[in-house]
Parts: sequence; structure tokens; C-alpha cells
Amino acid sequence: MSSSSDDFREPGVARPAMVEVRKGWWKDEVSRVPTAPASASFDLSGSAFHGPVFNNAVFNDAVTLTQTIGTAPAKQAELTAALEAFRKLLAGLPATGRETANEAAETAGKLVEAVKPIKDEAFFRRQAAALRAVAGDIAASLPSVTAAAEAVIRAVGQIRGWM
Amino acid sequence: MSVDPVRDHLEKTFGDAYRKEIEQEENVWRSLPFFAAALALQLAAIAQLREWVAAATGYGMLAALVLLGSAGIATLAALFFVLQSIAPARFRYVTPEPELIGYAAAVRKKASAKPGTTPEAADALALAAVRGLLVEQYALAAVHNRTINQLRATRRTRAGIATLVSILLLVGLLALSVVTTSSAHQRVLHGGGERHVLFLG
Repeated sequence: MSSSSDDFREPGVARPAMVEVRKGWWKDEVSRVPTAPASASFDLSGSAFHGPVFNNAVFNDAVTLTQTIGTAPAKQAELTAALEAFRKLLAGLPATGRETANEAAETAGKLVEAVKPIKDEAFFRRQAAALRAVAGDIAASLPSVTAAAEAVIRAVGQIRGWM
Repeated sequence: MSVDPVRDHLEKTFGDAYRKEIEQEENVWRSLPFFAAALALQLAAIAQLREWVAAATGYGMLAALVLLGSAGIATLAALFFVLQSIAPARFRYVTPEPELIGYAAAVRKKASAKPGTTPEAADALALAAVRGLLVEQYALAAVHNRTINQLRATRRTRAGIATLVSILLLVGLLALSVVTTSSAHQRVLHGGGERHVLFLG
């Protein structure tokens, strides 16, 4: 049997989340963060993922966020978890791009609130298709923290535009 | 099952990177004894120079106070950067082993349920699923944790530079005390009297 990259993307089986540990001075806090889909995050052939940008946690998480939303099996909880993970990351950002990133986080927070009452599967499918495109948009526009954060804002704005 | 050399390579490379970053997490803590030793050395030097500084007058006193004050500021800066370098941070790790077992079992079960899938094919799919997931998680965690570790290392470097500056200032203070004290002794020995002693009372 072939073991191509598509084989292990078994649909319908939830991928287990990663563990996040906040190592504090007095105690540690353990939480979970979703695993990003492999499709674009680690496509090393793409120039978008080379150099300092590949090491930029914000950029990676922006891609993770959009792709998690885009490929998750339309589950509200996963969407919320993805956004929450992104917000947590933003809290630990260096000063560079923090202002724009905070704006992204704030918008993302509003999105979570807006999405909560929605149970429409078709809505999430439309969202998935558009966000997949936005993930590519992020990869294309890339060059900095600010660019990544702005791309997230655009992605979030796109969803809000449908509501 | 055919071998996927790309995934094999990524699994090894990312796995190594992931483990390396885990080892690096404690790296900053391991340097704390250096800063403690440097601080102890500085305190010992200040204790030795205490009487000379108290007795210094004129420009000698001014120079001593400037050096001592600058050394104090550099030490405080070093302590600040040390604190920054060990500040709480959110590290990421791969899925716990029991959950990976559960995931493999779920993939195998789902694959087995498909008509025409052999047990060997289901096993191969489960293995590929777990390995693929681990490759992604290794990569995600390594990048995430590396960012934190690099930031911590940068702050530790700043702390080290501030400590060195502080030590150099204290060495300067020590040199000043030696020069002025020996100069004063010379003058006393050559009959200059106490009125020529610039920095000693």
C-alpha cells in the first residue's frame, strides 16, 4: 500500500491535539492546542516558508489558525479552540507587530462570539473554502509579523462579511 | 508498504529538532550559577573597598561614586534581564502517548470498516497516520519552542553583558583605589606629609 501524504489524512478521525505547558515560576499550567494540518504549513518547497518567516511563530500560527478553521470538520468547538490558541500566542508576542496582532486577536474574539450561535453546516463549509484561499493569501503576502496578522484580519473580516 | 523517504527524513530531522529544543528549555536555568557567582564576587569586592570609598575625598570620591553607581545600575540591569530570561512561557509538546495509541486504533478501525481493506492495509494506514501526525507536531513544537528559547537566550546574553560591564566598573574602582592608596603611601614615605594625600582622610 502506498504511504503518500494523503493516506494519513484519514477523514472522520479526529487528530489528537498537542499539549501546551505554561512553565511559570511557581507552577505549570497544561492546556491543549490543535495540530495544524500538514498541507501547507510545512510545504518546504514554497518560498513563503523559508528564512526568518518560517521561524516566526506568529506567521505559523496565523497559517495554523486559518487552516484549522478551513479544514476542521465544521465543529464550532474546534474553531473556538483554534482562535483561543491564536489569542494565547498573541499574548506572548514580542513588541514587533503587537499592535496589529492585538487588533487581529480582538477581531478574532468578536468572531468567536459571532459564530457561537451558528449551527449551520453549510456556513462552515463556505467558510472553509474561503479560508483555505486566505491561507494561501497569507503565504503569498507573508513578509512580516504585521503582514501575517493583517492577513488574519482579512480572513476574519471575510467571515464576518457573510454574517 | 512502500517507504516514503521524504517523511522518513522529516521525521528524523524534526524529531531531532524537537528534542534539541526540549533540552534547550533548561539551558537558561543552567547559567544562573554564573550570575550568582558574579554577584557574589562583586559584593565581596565592594565589601573590600567599602572603607576606601568612605574615606575618599575630592575627585577620588567623585570617581568612586560614579563607578560604584554605574556598577550598581549595570548589576540591576543584569538581574532584570536574568528575570526576563526565565519568565514564564508556553511550550508545546507532542500528543501524549496514550492518545496516539487511541488515534492509531481509531484510524485502523475506520480503515478496516471500508469494504475491501485488508488488515495489513489498515495497519499500514494507522502507522502512516501516526507518523504523519508526529512529523507535523514535531515541526510545530520545534518552531514554537525554538522561538521562545531564542528569545530567552537573547535576554540571557543581555544579562551577561550587563554583568561584565558591572564587573569591569568594579575592577576600575579597585584599580583606582590601588593607585591612589599607593600614591598616598609614596608621598608619605618621601616626606610629603598627610596634606599631600589626595584621597585618604
